[in-house]
Amino acid sequence: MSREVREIATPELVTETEVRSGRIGVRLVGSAESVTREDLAAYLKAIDGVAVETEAAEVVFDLRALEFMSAACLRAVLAWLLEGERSPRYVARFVSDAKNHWQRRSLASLASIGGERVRID
Amino acid sequence: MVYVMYLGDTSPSSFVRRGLGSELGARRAASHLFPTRAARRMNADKSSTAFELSVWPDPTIIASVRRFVAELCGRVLADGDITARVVVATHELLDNAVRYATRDASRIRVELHHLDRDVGVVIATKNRIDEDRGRELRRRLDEMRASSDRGAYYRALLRRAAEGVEGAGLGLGRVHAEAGLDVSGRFDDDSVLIRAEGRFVPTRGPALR
Repeated sequence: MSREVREIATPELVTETEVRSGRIGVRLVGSAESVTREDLAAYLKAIDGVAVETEAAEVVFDLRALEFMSAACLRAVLAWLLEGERSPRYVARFVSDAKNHWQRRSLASLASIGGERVRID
Repeated sequence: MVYVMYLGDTSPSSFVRRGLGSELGARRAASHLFPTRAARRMNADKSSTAFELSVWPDPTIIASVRRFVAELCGRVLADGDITARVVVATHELLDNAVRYATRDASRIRVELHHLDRDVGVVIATKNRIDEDRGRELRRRLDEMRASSDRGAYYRALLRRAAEGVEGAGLGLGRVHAEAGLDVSGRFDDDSVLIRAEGRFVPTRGPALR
């Protein structure tokens, strides 16, 4: 667990963050419901701060344990990507579960906004 | 088979107006709520599954409904892709219906129809809304209808949402573009019926079992 980032620990969504040299790993567990949107937005802002501070080359989001992401939370991720687009310093990589069909479509949506900065595994 | 979770006091026929075509239209005409004669006819039709649910505006119930729909689709559809479309659309439509309801319960109806080689999906929500939300919703639906390219429309919507535009309509746009359903609305004095529908070819196995 990172000292710099306050984890999300709601009944719906839990984050597990790992800050290593040049890389930040984020595991999302549960479901990103509309009621979690503000928590997620604050968390992503903190992640951006740590990524800049530690000069991370990439932030890796592991979504394989994420049941669902609502449009409200998708919007929080989009805003975070757009903010990063203004001063691109790291790549956002999303690790998805191929069996979760919604992930494929929603991540394609994120990639259409994030451009080169977004990688999808 | 018809699952009736709760019977509201609003005419169920108001959920069902327009058709995907004559085949589904005929099925839809038979999809009134139990215990009407039409529902009994649909009950005898093993290739259709439907349920209707009435919920009070409590955002925490949305996930419960979504999980129920995922479980139901998992049992009656042999297709993860179509299930995901239904799940996304159910979540976003119910989320809007609950979030913007001014009073009374919000209602949702989900129908899955076996149409020869395709699966027909109809998801409808009904809730009370205020005038401002009604105007905003009409504008979004008109915009969606006027767009000839789902992908381009959705990308523009994503960009607006990312820029922090409130009420960008991302949920409805997601139903339209990610779930691939046609979305329409019918407005009464102080309520709105949102209807999303589509036909999909299953990727493997029987459409419904």
